Formats: sequence, C-alpha cells, structure tokens
Amino acid sequence: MSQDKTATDQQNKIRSILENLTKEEQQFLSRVVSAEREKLYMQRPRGINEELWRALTETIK
Amino acid sequence: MIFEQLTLKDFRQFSGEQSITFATDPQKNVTVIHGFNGAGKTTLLNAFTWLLYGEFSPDFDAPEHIESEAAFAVLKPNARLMVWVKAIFRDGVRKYTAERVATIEKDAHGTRRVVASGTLRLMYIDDSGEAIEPNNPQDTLEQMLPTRLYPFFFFNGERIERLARADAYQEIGQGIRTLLDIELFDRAIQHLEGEPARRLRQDIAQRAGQEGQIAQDELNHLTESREEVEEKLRQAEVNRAALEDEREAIDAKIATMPDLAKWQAERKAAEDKESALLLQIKQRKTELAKEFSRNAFLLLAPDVLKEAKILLEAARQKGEIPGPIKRQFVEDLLIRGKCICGSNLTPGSKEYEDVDQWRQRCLSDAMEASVTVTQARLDAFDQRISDYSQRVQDIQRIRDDLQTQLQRTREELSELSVKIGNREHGEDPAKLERRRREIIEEITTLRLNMEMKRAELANINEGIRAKIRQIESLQLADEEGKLAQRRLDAVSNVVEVLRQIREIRFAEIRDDLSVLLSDVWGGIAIKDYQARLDDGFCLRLTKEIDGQEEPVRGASTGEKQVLSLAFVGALSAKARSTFERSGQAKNLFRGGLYPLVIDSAFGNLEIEYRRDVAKWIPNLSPQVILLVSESQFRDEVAHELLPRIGVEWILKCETRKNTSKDITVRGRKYPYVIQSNDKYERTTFEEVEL
Repeated sequence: MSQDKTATDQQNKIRSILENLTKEEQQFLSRVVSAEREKLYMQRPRGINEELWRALTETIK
Repeated sequence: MIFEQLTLKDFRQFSGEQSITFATDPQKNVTVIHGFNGAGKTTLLNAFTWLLYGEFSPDFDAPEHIESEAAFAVLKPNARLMVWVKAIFRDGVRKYTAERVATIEKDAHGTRRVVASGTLRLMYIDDSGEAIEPNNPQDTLEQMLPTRLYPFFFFNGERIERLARADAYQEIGQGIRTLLDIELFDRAIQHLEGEPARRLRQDIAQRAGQEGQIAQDELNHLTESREEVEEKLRQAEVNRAALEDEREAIDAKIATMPDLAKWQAERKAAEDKESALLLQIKQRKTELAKEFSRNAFLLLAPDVLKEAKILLEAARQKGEIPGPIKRQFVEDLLIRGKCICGSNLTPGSKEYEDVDQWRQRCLSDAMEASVTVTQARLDAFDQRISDYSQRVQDIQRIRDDLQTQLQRTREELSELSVKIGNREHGEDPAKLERRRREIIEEITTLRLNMEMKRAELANINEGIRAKIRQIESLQLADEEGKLAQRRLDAVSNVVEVLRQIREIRFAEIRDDLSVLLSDVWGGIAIKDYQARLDDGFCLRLTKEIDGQEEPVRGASTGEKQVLSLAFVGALSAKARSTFERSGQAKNLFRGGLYPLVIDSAFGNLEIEYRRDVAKWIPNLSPQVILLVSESQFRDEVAHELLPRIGVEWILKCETRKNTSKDITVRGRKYPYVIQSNDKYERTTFEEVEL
C-alpha cells in the first residue's frame, strides 16, 4: 500500500519535471531514452553518439 | 523471461531428445528438480546459460565436451552429431523459442572434431501472430537480460555468498543500475554531456572568435585532467576493496589457528570497539562544529557587553535613564503653548527655549524601551555565554575521554598484533600478521591519496562548470550559431531533467530495496543482525553496539549466503514491480520478470535457514526453478515449498555400476539411481505425479 503511494508520488513528481521541458525537448528526451534502452546491454554502446545527434538535429530545428 | 519448456538433445548425460516443463502459475511458481550427485543438476543449470549466452559456470567440468558420451560412441565414422538445447519462454507479451546448436563430427579414425561450437537461433510471435526471426538473436536476448547480469538469476546457491563480500559492490551496483534503469539515465546523461554537447560547444566557440577558442582549449584541457583523476580514483577503489578482502581472508585464517583463535577474537572485539569509538568521536566533532557555528560569536561578546553595561550605568547615575520625564509629555506642553507652572510657551520666548531643551534631553519612547530591553538582555547574554562555554567544555571532555579510550584500544590492538605475529607460533602466522600490518598501512595511504584526489576532482569540476558557463554565454550573431546555442540549451535542459528523474528513481530504489532486503533477512535470520544495502551498493550486516550500528565482521558463510539470496530476491521483486507498473511511467522505467534458477539452493544451510529460505523464495521471483539433491530437500524444505510447487521432476540416473536407489516424493517411490542397460551413463527426466 505504501509502495503504491510512493509509486504514485514518484509518477506525479516526474510528470511535473517533464512539464518543464518544451514539446520539442520532451520529444528529444523520449528518443534519447529509447536509443539508450536499445543499447543498454552493450558494455560499449556502438553508434550511440550518432543516434543522439540525429535525435537532436531532427527534433530541435 | 518466464520459462515454459526446456528441451535437450544429446547434451551431456541427457542422451537423445528430452523435454522438461516448468511451473508458470503465479500461485504455484516453483519447479523442483531432484537429482542424485552427478545426475545432471549442474548440467541443467549450464544448459540454460549455454543456450542463452554460450557460457558455462566455473564449476562445470570439461565445458569443451558438451555432447552425450553415449551418442558420440554410437556415431558412425564421418558422421555428425547435433547437440542442442531449446527453450520456450515468455518475455512480456511475446513468446520466444531459443535454440543453440553445436555440431560434433567423428572422422574416419574416430577422432572428435567440433564443427560448430554453438549457433543461436531465436524466434518469436509478433502482435499480428507472425513468426519473426531476429537477425541478431544474441542482441535480442541480451536486451532481456544482459550477459553480465545472468549470474544473479542462474547460480549455485553454495557459491552465492560472493555477493556479500566487500569487493562485490561493483557487481551489485551493476545489477541494480541495469535492471532497475539507473544505468540508462547515467548513460544518457554521460552521452549527452559527451560528444553532442562537446560538438555544439566547439561550434559555438569557433563562431565566437579568439575568446571562444581560448575558452574551448581550456575546457578540453580540464576535461582531460578530470578523466585522468577519475580513472585513478576508480583504480584506487578497486585496490582498496581487494586489500580489505585480503585482510578479511587473513583474519579468517588466523581465526582457525588453535593457538591464535582467542587473540583473533579479542582483536575482532577491539576493532569493533575502535570503529564504535571513531564514530562517536566523529559525532562529538560534528556537535562541536554545530555549537561553534551557532554560538561562537558569543566568545567576542563579553568586552562589548561590559562596555555597554558601563555606559548604561553611567547614564543611569547621571539620571538620563530612565528618563525623569517623557518626551511626549514635553512635546504636548510645547504644542499646547502652556507650561505646568502656568507660563506661556511662545515660540522664541525664553520659557519656550527652556522647555524645548528638556525635550532634547528626553529619550524617545522607542529608545527608552530599547534601553530597558537591552538592560534585561545583557544578563541573559551572560547566562548564554556561560551555558555555551559549559556545553563546549562537556563535549570536549567527552571527546577527550573517547580519544583516550581510542588510544588505549589501539595500544591493545598493537599488542595483540605483536602476540599474533610472534614467531614462536610458527612462520606462517608471523608472515600473515606481517602482511596484515602492511595491508593496514596500504589502506591508510590509499585513503589519504583518495581524499586528495577527490579534492582535486572537485576543483577541476568547478573549473569545467565555469568554462561551460563562459562558452554558453558567448554572444553570437549568425543563425547557425544561434541554432547551435538552442540545441545546447535543449541538451542542458534534457540532461537536467534526466538528472532529476534519476535522483527520484535512485532514492525510490534504495528505499524499496532496503525495505525488501530487511524484510526477507528479518524473516530468515536467526541473529538480531540487520541487513543493509549502503549507498555504495555494499551488502552489509550490522549489529547494535552501545546504541550505535556497527558492521558485523566475520559473518559465517551461511549468513552470507542467506544475505546474498535475500538481495537477489529483493532485486527480482523490485524488477517485477517496476515491470508491472512500466505502462504508467512513460516508458522511462521498464524492470522485468526474471526467474531464479538455483542449483543447490539449500546446500550448506542449517535447518532453520533452509526452512525460512524455502518459505520466502517463492514470493521473491515470478518463477523459481530449484535443483536439489535428496539431502537438500528434506522435510522442513518440502513442507514449506509444497503449496507453491507447480511441477516436480526427478533426474533418473543410469549408472554402469550394479546399484539402485529409490527416492520418495509426495509419498510415492521413484527410481533415482538404476543400473544402465549398456556401458553408458545417462539421465532421463521423470515427472512426479502431483
């Protein structure tokens, strides 16, 4: 029960933090998280810099 | 990752093609596989790890020979034997089939040759019902559970105590960070602040002329220095952990030496006391620092207060205070234009001037009130100074007393070291003790160096922040430059948000894991120790000594095994709860469902520990697969697990020797060891009737 409450509090806090970003920045963050998750299993994630650069230049124009 | 079925084909003692199913019902999530020594329990554990990662555990003998002895023996010359392991499992909503195949050839002379050592194939059914075979099957599996983390979920219970060792913090930290998404945020922050931010800053600096270029060069230099210092710190931490471990090993050895065990026990007690004293001294220092910061100004006050008292006393004696008449009264007379003696007070007249002089001499009401308050407070200040001095003296006296005790304890430790290292006990203890002293010296030097490096790092980081601020505030005129600045702002904003979310997540994980760990440990442990996961990801047992929480030194192997199991269980439980809520977290956190596949789960544990581990294990993970010998699965374990067992198997072991043995499971007898019909050993699965 208390873990449920903690989880809800956590979600609310995160939601309000995300709202500080512009729509473009939120989109950029979402792409960053997806790219990192895909390569999380790799000790040295190959090509991550290129993917992040692409995400940045495609979302912040 | 929840396993439904495992099929082996000519894999070690599992001749031919054989399948085994696993419990998947959440209420009955335990699969028990009984096997005699050598029947293939460790082989089954390794069938999982070979299938998923192409790896074997260190206790898996001769891993280069994975084929069945019987199958190879009957293989014709120039023929090939396919050895494989296949699993059907679910991960999230998808159902997967994974298969790893090795090909062994027998040449014309009967010599064995490995043609393919293990090729992996993976298929799953997608949302539209279509079968998909990923081009990179290993990568797909690794995304579900990375190689470096499988030892948390596929392990030998008799060796799991390694997680409670001082040097396991990296392994544990890695597990927590990766499985619970902290690693993802750390990497994202590190990557964004790396190449993309560097590239944008360079772009901005280049467009800002010489000022920009100089700032960029300085930033590059500082960044290189930071990397060097960080690497040195990392290395020093690894060395420190290794030295701590070596010292613990030496202590364990000395504790087993009959002549020295008593002194070693005394030393352990003295070291515990030393730790407690150091902690108390630190607390007194903190108290003193607080007193100084709140009240140290009082030390400067006595002279000022004395002077104020003299001035006020002089004014009182002169009759200036308290004022003989109120200023308001005199002002009213002047406004009315009539004195109390009846004289007219006309402005410019002598009478008016006389009364007006009284007005100048009177204190205002506010001033008079301030004088009254100041007089009252001067005495209170004296009391405050006296109380403060008393408190400081008391704390200093306690601190001095603690330091004397510490000195004595250290002398005692030094004497014990001399006694233990005395050559009359033999060359080995003397050598061990000499090495132990060297280790303590090395640790002290390392800690000093590390402190210096940390201070250096803090300075460098401050310099880097200043340079970054400088570059980011460079004024640019062209559109390209402005776009680069906007992108850099976006990177900074996203990094800041990632950092905040990471902190929230980390605090939540630390708290939840501590509660889970504490619950599991508290439910199993016999002693009143507390299980802790500290901020540095070290698993620790602590106990209360004189109201202080102190680390337990020399915990038994069994206690460490239970602590490690409790941690793995807590990790698995937290990953599961994260997975179950993943839809609500905007895909920021994923977690996962991980099985626990444990060989010899109850190996060396006492009856009470076995019973309680058996009680807790089914609650910790969505799927538990236990490989046990008859002695490991005794009444107390069977009794606790019975309501949670969904599937139960027996590894029927065929041996060349003329022998046989049965096993009784759920009141029925099953053949456990039987004589082989041919000259080969093999094992077959036999399902227990529930």
